[in-house]
Amino acid sequence: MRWTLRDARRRWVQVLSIALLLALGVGMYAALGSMSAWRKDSADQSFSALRMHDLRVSLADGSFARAGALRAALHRMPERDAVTVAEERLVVPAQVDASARGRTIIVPGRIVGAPVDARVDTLFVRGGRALRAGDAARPVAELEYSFARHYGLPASGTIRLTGGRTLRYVGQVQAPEYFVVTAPGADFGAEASFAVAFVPLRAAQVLTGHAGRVNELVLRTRPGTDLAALRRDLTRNLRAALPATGFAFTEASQEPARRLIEKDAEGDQQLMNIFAFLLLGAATFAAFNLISRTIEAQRREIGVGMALGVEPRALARRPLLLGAQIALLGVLLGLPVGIAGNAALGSVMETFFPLPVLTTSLRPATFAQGAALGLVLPLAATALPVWRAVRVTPIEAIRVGARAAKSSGLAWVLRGVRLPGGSLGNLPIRNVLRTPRRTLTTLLGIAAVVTIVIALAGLLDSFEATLDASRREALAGAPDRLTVDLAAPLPAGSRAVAAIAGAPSVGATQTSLRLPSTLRAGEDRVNAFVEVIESDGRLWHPTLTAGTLPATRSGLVISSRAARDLNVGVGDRVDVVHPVPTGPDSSQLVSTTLPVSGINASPFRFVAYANRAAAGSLHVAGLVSRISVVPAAGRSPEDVKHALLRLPVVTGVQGASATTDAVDQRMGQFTDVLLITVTVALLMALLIAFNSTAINADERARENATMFAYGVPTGRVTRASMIEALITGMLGTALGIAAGYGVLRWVIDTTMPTTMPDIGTLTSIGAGTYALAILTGTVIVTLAPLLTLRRLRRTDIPATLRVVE
Amino acid sequence: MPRSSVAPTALPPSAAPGTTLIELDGVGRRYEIGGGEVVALADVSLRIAAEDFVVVLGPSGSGKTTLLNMIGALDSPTDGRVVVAGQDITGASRKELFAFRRHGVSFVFQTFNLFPALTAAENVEFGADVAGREDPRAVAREMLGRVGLGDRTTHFPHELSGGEQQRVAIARALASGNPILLADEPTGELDFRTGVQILELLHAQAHTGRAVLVVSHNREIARVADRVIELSSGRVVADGPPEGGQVEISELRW
Repeated sequence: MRWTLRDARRRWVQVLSIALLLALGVGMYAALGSMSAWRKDSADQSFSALRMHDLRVSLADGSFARAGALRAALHRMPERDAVTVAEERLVVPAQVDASARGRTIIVPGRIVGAPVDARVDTLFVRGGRALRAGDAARPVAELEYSFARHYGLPASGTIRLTGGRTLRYVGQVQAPEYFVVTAPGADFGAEASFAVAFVPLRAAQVLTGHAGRVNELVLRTRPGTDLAALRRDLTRNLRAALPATGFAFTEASQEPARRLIEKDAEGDQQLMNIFAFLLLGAATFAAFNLISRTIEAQRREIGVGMALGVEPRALARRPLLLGAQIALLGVLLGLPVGIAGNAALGSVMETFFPLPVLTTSLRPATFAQGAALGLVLPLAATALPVWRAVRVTPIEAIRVGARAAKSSGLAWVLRGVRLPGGSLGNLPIRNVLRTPRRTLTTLLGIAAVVTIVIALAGLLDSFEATLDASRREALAGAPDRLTVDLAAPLPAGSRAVAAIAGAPSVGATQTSLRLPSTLRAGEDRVNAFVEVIESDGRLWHPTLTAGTLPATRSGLVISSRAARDLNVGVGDRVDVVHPVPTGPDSSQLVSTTLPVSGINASPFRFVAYANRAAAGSLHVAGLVSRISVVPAAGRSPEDVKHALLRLPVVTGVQGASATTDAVDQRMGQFTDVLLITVTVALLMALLIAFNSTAINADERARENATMFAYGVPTGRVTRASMIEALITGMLGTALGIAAGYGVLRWVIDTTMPTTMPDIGTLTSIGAGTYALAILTGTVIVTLAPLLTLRRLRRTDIPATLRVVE
Repeated sequence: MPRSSVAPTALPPSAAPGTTLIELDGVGRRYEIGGGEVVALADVSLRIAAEDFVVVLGPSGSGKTTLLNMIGALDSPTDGRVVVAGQDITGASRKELFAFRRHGVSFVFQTFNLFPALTAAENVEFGADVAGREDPRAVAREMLGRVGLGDRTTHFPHELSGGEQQRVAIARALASGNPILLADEPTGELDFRTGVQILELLHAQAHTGRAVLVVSHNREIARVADRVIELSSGRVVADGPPEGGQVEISELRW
């Protein structure tokens, strides 16, 4: 043991750097692998702390009921005892203007009216004060925290709503449904583009012009309640009470925020597991290679021991202990690395999913898994060369120099082939070929790191390419285009629509109708916004990658992602389930079958278009809910926003690429995690390059000394090592790029559909990523021999050339 | 100690018989080891001329390898002066010593130290390349022919016997064209018969205008030398023709 410790001390830089390599792999494996567990724990505790509803009943868009009518439906229900708390709410879309200090912040959002002393979906105050009983009838609000934090708004202040009304907010809060703010109908973060104001119910009814009306019912139930049976009873009662009104149920587990944080954590974890395995795999493989080469260098000592008659088992103990020490040190160092990595990832998650309760502790079980691999593989790396060493005869083991060489590996490939540069110039490529096993393992170590870099940075590129494609599509031909959303569908010839088109700041306009819908084909279903547009829209029209949007017959154009998920193509038919207005305060969900006439170029699954001819089938002919506008000459988009915000029918005015911007934010969490992972990979590349070079210098000591004896300058010897490293690095990089592309495709094709179901991620690897891969796999590796320059200069040439080593 | 100037220019590959190629004046070498001082060489003075075939004899630790390293510019003396082929290398810089080794001396090692990735011809070509000789390929061919390995040019070291490998090493040393050949225990790894062949080869080189210095602990080898320098505890204890007179290589036995 003491001997082994002496070994470790003698090579402490090498031992420490291999251990650090292992530590990075094990630590990051534990940190990345722990994410879903602590995200779920944090979410569970947060949802529980704020008493999130178990079931939400929401009336169809634009539908309202008399206050008390929804709760009354419960009273006629046989299983009403299962419901412990039921509260009515009023949720109304609104345009929110939070502009302050010369900064324009105008976004769509909603007013949520709920009891001040709510017992369901309570509010967690992050800043300012909570609403009090005295506020029940006052027009005061709490502002949703993520939105306020994004724009750095003060803890209390004033916002303006659709129609120019002002509303004072007294605090910033989090509510279970908005732990992750999502744009209606789509699953991605929208804290920058969607504002929620929580207002006392009575005040909200007055503020929104819906006095005495509600449109949501939230319920908490006893544990073990059969929610399906509850829904059945409620459906029956609500149909009886509100025969002309559509309604939908959403269970807690299906709330976008809960799904994104909790359920999607599993999908995200798949991606994190891939990163974790890549890092751990590269680290353990590199450690395997490096330890194996370190032990190989002790082959002669083992031979001497065998010649002295020492038991092979006893001889094996010392190198095995060295391997065990490295592995143990790596695992021990992995703990602080894991804790640090966990803290970094926790901080990323805190940004994207700020929860009232966040516990980001490292999971012992996950760490143990990584530690087990981190222990077993290095030990195997030690055992293999030891096993080989004790199997050879002592006389062979103690042979040194040229007589020890059993073969020239693959150097025969170039036998008789002359490359430029003389014998010294030929030496690097011959050395690469002479030791194919060593070359291969080094090359695979480099390739593993490059694979990570390409896969992870390529994923960032792919996100960016997807968002760019989406922005290009949204802004094609009209970069200043804005979309104006109306509170409810209006006739195209209505005065409100004319007022928007006629506003002095507005130039050209184009009307459309946007229907939040579900597309169904057989058992498959996809949520989408079907936008009824003019086939020959002058201001903007979608790019089609297949089919057409016909002018006269009905046609539906869906995204390629939706087509794939629905398993349909051009010419197939899909059912569109969408709301149809049945009165001023009510709408009904209906199903309409339309032919798929084309595929649009949007990478977003939820983007779909129908033509005017289909509007009749959809029962929305002549109606408008969205108007695309461009500013008049000399007017800015901000002018348009300010002008249209004053109109009561307008609930949102935003840039045409706002959806893309929201998706951009959702992807941001991955971007940050990827950046952390890529940084770790680069650190690993440095450690691998350093170790590989140090071991190379050991293995080539005699050859280098021979060159020095013949007067070859240190610079030329180093250059030869660098050329050898360049060849290995280039091959490793090429292999890594190919493998990285494969991993990237696999991630995008198999994991992203679960992780980001709404987005058809395009595969793209940018020039910067290739440059990073070349920097990691080739440049760093090629320059690494410079680290041994000092050691080469200090070579004791006579001692190295002598037999005794 | 004044620094000498050693220009990295090619030295004459051969010199007229009797021309002094190696000159040591009061050379000493001390090492600091474990806080104490070890004297490897003390007050060694000698001259070796072109066409001399010199064997340096002595037991382990006598300083013979240190002496070889001084002449071969692998080490520098702590006392005295070393002049090789007319160049004073006593206080030469590292760069100057490297240049001197390229153009002044060539080495043959006990363990051959061939480059395992290069063929026999390429290993020999290395010697010519490093010395900056014209057409190293042709030089390599010629040298391999001279050591009797003209038909083994494309063989890798592991495909050659020990004696053949050492012949390649000698050819590599000769390919440099340098006037001084230094061999450290060149027969140490070889059987008697092969060792004799190698000695014949080295002996023959002394008659091409070179000085050949062979370090050995084998007294039998010294019997074929023109001159034997015997070291003990770092000092020259004998310097002259072999005891009992020079014999033919064919008469050697060990």
